[in-house]
Amino acid sequence: MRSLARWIQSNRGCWLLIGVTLFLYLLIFQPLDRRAEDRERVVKKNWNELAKLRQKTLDPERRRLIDISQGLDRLDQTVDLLPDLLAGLSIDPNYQNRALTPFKLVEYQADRNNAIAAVEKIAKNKKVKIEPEVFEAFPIHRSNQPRPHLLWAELALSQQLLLCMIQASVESISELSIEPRTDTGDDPKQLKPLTLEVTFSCSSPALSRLLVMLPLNSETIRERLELPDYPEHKPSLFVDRILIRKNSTEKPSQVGVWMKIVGFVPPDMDGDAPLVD
Amino acid sequence: MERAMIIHPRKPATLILVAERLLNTVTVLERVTIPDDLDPSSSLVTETISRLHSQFDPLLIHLVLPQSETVSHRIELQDHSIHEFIAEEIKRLKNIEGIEPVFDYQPLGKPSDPPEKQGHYWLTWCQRPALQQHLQAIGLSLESVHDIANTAQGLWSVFERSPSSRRATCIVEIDRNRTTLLQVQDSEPRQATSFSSPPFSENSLPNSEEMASWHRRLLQATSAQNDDASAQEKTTERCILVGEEPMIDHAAQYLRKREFAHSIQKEHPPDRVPSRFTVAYGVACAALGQTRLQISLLPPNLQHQQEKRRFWIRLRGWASALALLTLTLLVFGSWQKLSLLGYNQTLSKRYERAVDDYEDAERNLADFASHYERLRPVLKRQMDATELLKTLASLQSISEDESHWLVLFADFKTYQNALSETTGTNQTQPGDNQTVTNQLSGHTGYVAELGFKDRDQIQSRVHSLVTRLNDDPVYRQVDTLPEDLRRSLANTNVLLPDRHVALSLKLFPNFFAAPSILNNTTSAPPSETRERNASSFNNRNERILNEGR
Repeated sequence: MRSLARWIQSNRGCWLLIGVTLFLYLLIFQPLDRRAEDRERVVKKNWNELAKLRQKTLDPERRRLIDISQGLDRLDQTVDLLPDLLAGLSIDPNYQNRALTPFKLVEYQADRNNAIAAVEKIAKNKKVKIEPEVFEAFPIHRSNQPRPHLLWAELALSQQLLLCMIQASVESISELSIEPRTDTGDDPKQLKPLTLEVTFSCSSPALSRLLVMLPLNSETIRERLELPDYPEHKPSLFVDRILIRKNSTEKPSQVGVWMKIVGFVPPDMDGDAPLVD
Repeated sequence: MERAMIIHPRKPATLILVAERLLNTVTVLERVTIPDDLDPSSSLVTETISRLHSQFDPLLIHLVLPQSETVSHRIELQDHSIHEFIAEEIKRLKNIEGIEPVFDYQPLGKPSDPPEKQGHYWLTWCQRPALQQHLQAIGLSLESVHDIANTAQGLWSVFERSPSSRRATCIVEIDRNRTTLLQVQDSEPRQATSFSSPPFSENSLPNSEEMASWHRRLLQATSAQNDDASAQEKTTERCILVGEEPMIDHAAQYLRKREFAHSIQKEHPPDRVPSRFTVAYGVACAALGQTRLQISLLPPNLQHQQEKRRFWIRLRGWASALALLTLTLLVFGSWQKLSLLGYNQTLSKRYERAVDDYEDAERNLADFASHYERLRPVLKRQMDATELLKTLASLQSISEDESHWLVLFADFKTYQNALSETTGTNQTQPGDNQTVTNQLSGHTGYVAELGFKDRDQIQSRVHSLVTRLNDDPVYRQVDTLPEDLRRSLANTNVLLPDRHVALSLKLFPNFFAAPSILNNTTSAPPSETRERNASSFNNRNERILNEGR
């Protein structure tokens, strides 16, 4: 302590101290101070920016994200099908493969005939009456068809709808039509809805069965409805519009039904990008 | 902190002492004894002074004049001012000696003392040749010394440091050549004088005759102040002896035998510094501002110069202390700034991470919105299918009692758009179709037409039905359908007149019917500070959103 005090009181110590102080101030402290100030300014601006981002994330409209989760939970609780949602939309892989190759009319016509024959055969076995107009309504190729690949999807859905109705033991199917497809938007990954109209008569239990079976896929139907013989590759189909009418008082359980059914065509069958990346 | 180097030329050696004052404590840093027989030309003294000066710079160099070269005594002035008195004395001495002497005076009275004490002064003077002679002997000039004191100054410091200082005290310093006496009474120095010491050396002490002779001289010196020896014996209560160690022991013994004073004691500076340095140590205390009296025999023209030097030395000390303090603060400040920089850097990193996380969240949100939007139609259909099945199940369960049956079931849209004619008495008018459309459009739900067996119970059963269905959380509102909204869609062959009721079962809006608002997510606010990051972020966000759309 004494030697330090003695040193700083000496002439050399005094000047050295002043020199070191000036050096420290000018070459170290001041640049540091300036840098710290700049950094402080940046941090403040960053802070304000983060506050704005936070405000944005607290935007009530964005809380819909939570609502969607809740909605999905609710749906999941109601129908235990959500995990199978995408799987349920897939169409017969044979038809999907066809759609991925260049369209050949001869192949399509052969497949269409095969599909009709298969449906006819099963309908006969199950004693379901299908009017000839129904088979005539199966999609046919026209020269002005912009996307012939879609015919495979239409064929698959028509076939699966009829098979589902047969499996549900409807009495007769009188009409079938396919609505012209409308473009849903620019998103190539969007599912393309395909609407089919069908008129049929059946008993009330058969109708209930049909309504349960329509949204399910083959695997689920086989497992949950205990129908081990149900044909494969059934996609989920949904009732868009429905009209049920009692036909007569003599047969109290028999009803006439008109339904608009919606199925979805995966984008890859439409020549577009796959549904899931 | 101040330091002083005291040069005390005495016999048989010149003493040099370096002392330092720190927090009102005077510490001896260095003491050197240079015997005269080793250094007849005083060159060793000069070298030592030079070495100590460079070693302990800054130093205040003080010279101690032997008391024999100076005159010190107390004066009491009643009518004259001290300046007039000194002027007269200088004039008188100049007339006698032919040379102007150097005078110094120190007021002895304190401001709190009675008026009669205010005129008491301690007067010291010496001849200039004596000053020059001593300075030349040690190789110094008048300009190189900061101040000049005398032996009385050193002895006075001894008195101030000793306890019970109000008692009449004799302070005696003995060297090989001279004995110096300072008499103090009532805390005031009365007189300082010197006389020859008895001959002694380290190995031989004076005999009794020599001591008796010395004792007589001592008594004479004290009696000069007290008029006679007997008076001295009464007034001297304490005697302090300093100087050459074997001699002062011997003198103390002798004086005790002679009952020179009630109390005879030896004195030496602290830290085991030998007693011969007592005068030098006392002068050091005075030089470092530790005593009341500070005698200065420096010529007046040099006093001012030395004051200036002292001022600059002090200024340098303060400047150094200030620089040291500033340096410490700067070091602390730099450390603090460095920590702040580090902390700010951490914050900036956290900010970047937060923005990255935000970007990820936005991207995930956009991906989620995009996927959700693709699946939304399927989810909506799922929900519709569920509600349709639930509705049919509900209607089926309430029809189990067979009191009524379902004749028609349709969704609102199908029912509205039916173009068949309305039934019965309440036919709709042309243009009502639009009204029907407006009333049912915007809602989802079903119309159920029921036929009843028993006409009388229709109202109660319908009421019961509606109540039960309204309890079902699936429905927003269940009610009978007004006649004007009805359509004749049911087969007429299953309808019984007046036993036909239509119910409207309004559902809650399908949650998945509306497109996601997430698709309209706006981009992040622009950043000024992180323009590059923010712009890339915005561009990316927009790109993601565009991809999502």
